[in-house]
Amino acid sequence: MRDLAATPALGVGVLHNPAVPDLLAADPGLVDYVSVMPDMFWTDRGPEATPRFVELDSWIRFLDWAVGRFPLVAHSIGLSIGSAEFSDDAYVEQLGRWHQRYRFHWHSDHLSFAQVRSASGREQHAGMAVPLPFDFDVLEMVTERIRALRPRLASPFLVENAVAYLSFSDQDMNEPAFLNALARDSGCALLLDLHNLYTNARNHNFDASAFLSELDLGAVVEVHIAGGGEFAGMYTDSHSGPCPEPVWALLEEIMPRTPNLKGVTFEFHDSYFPRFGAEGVREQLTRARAVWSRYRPQ
Amino acid sequence: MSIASFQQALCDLIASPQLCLALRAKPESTLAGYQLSARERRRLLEVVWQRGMSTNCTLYRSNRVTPIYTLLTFTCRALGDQLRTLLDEFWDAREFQDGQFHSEVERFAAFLSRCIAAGGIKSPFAAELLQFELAVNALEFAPRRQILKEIVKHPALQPDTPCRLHPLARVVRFRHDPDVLLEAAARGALPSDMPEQDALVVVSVISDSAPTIVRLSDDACDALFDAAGIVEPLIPRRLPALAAAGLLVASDVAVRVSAYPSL
Repeated sequence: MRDLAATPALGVGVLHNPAVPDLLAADPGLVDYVSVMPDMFWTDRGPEATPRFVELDSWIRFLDWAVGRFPLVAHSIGLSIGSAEFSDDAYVEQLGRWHQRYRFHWHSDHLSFAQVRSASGREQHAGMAVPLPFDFDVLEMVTERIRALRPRLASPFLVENAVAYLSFSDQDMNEPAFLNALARDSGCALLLDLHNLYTNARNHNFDASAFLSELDLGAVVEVHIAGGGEFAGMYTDSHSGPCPEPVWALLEEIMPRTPNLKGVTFEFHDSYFPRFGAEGVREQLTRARAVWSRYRPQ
Repeated sequence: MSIASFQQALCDLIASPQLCLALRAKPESTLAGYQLSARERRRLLEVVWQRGMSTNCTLYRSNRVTPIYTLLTFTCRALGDQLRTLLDEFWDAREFQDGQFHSEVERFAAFLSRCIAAGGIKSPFAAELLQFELAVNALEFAPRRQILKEIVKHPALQPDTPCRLHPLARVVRFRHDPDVLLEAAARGALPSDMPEQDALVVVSVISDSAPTIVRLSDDACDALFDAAGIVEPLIPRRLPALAAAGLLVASDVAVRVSAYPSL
């Protein structure tokens, strides 16, 4: 497993979606790296199928084009590291094979669960990433899960703070304390999603800057920035357009305080691309690069 | 067990606004099947009153409809207002096991096929658009490069080589003019009815990973089909247009694409 110190600072990247290949083909200088969700590049036919993972040729074509041109990082959505009773060895092995093939600089997944196993043994997908209560027993469970996972991936492993539309009462600790303990005890690094933080702060009425003051920013290796919107009385992390100004302000706030930060990734959902447009994406990346360059001059 | 049971209960609630309402009304009986600590029970009783639970329930539905609408767009457009009712009937949270686009669409297609067979679908176009999109999906999800590598190892076809349809091709039967129907579906402007007209098209991803669609001539249809379906072996001499288009492979080519095996 590569050491974090051996991982270079990359700069500003974009999370791959079906709109990204054309953007990068037209202007390869738009980003310094590309973040990819490996899960989107194959069909998982389930544990009983042989072969289980069937790669999508039309998607792989982009990766094979990109691998020689951009540093790549992996952002998976299938580990479900917060699940109490779920693990998928074959999926982890598949991720491991992809690390060998695409030399990802780091690998991240979410501090949440998406998969549960009922008392009858049947698996059920939550349909979304569900946040965890910040309790000691949950911390212990996730710490063990990450400790077991890290040696199986060839690069540093990052955990992303989750967006949470629900709030749980009577938690053993707050989110920054949970993340700090998790990073310290499991050896993982952090992916700080500033839009998730902004969304939670806005919906649950807390101070995002106070959150950042409590968080061990030395553990942050990647930052996500994105946009969202109002939906049914809540602000949602829909990746639907440009970053709100408060997210840019949070980025400015953490840049001088994150000595191990390697990259800032802009996320947008391709379904909003027709409205957002190539120029809209370019503006966000240009602005992110300006922030990066101000704090990380070559 | 407690954390697992809490997570199970939370998933069940997110998947079912009805269960949320039941928990508000009858907490004891609604949570009776879960092994929860007092704190977990209290949390669940609180979250069903939070606005965020409604957001989660909506996002759950949105996330589940995304694969169906993405991969069966034309079919969903044909179903129109009936789609919502069908989704309510189809969505059993316990059947949602892996969150994979492919398997969710496969299950919905099987469900919809049963509804079509039972005469429960109003749209006259849903059946053929479903078959068309299943064919396209099967081909788009197929390991194309691997299959092409395998096929290129075989000798070139002779006029009388026993053949079958290329594994990266599918024949779809339409009951309405496919050109008009697919164009209308792409625009999202399907008419309420169209004159019936039998036609066969071949969908393939042989020359490019984007599907190409070729309408078969009447002669090709006669050579390709009898009342029982595709007549195999197919003989290049009798199907020159298909052979010239590279849509035939030798019968002894072992590789097959078996998407949607349950249909």
